[in-house]
Amino acid sequence: MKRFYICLAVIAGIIGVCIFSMHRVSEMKDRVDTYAQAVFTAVEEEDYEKTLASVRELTTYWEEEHKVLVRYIRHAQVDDISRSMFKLESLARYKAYHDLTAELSSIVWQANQIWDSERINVGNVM
Amino acid sequence: MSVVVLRTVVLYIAIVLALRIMGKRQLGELQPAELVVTILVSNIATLSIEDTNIPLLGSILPIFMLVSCEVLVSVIILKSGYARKMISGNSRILIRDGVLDQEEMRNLRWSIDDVTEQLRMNNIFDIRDVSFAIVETSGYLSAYPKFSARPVTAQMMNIPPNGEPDAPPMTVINDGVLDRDALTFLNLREEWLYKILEEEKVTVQDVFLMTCDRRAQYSIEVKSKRRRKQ
Repeated sequence: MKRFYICLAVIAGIIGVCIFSMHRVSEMKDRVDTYAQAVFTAVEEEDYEKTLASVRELTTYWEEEHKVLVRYIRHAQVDDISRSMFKLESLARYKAYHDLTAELSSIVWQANQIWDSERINVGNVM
Repeated sequence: MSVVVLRTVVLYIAIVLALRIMGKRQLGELQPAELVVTILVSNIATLSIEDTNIPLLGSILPIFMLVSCEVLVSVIILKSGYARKMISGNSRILIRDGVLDQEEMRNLRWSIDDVTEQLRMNNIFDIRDVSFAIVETSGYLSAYPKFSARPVTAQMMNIPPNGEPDAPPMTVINDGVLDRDALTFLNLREEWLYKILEEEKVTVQDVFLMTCDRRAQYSIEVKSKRRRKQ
């Protein structure tokens, strides 16, 4: 029976990790969304300083988040976002706002895709 | 490359741990569900080793989940006869009084070669010698020979016990390491052992293998000179 209880503990641990990872991804999606909205607003206002600051905020957040996400999300998915993410600052600095918003939209979409693929629903399970 | 090697080591440790949780029973005799788990574990581990894009947790968690499910199912099987029948199936009688049940053979999809091979593994070379043969849920054939084909035992010959203990000889010293639990099991004292070693002019470290039974009958194999130097 010792093994039985070990297994119950292991399953509880696994469920815990799953809940943590889902929570983390959900939070990541929301924060990327919020930061992106801030950039979109700054671009619309044509505020160069604010755009640059918002982009820096987003990329700094992503640098930290990337390290955690690659532990349980397929690296390719996270790397795609990182690739786009590190173009943002240059685009903002040189005021390439069209490209900046396009790249940002792509990032938001990819973050949502990660969240969609991690969510528990019939479609994902099947 | 070094990442792949390290991931392999981590996965190896995880699989060994997982199989330890599964227990010895599963390693020795695979039931259908256990076979499935074993195959899946090896496949999941390979994925992470081959593709470094897959997070290690993506392999380790499913492996532990599979093994945990397997242990939980084995506990359920232990507690419930109905679950046992559903998951492990029933044993089937294949031979009765030297006659093969052909209908059962068809159901099991066993050929005559399969039956004779399994009988040979039971040291039976003639189907007519079988009184009763059962296909176990693990797929092994257990055969009970007819009286005429059974090996002679002391009980058949009415030979009284000669006082020999039923416990087999046990390893007391293994490669220079003393097993105190074995000594306790044999009801022997360490003082006795050291006295014997002194008589044999060896120390515990010099002994490669020492076995002993409950009547204190022992055999000692001393390490070869080259091993002793190490």
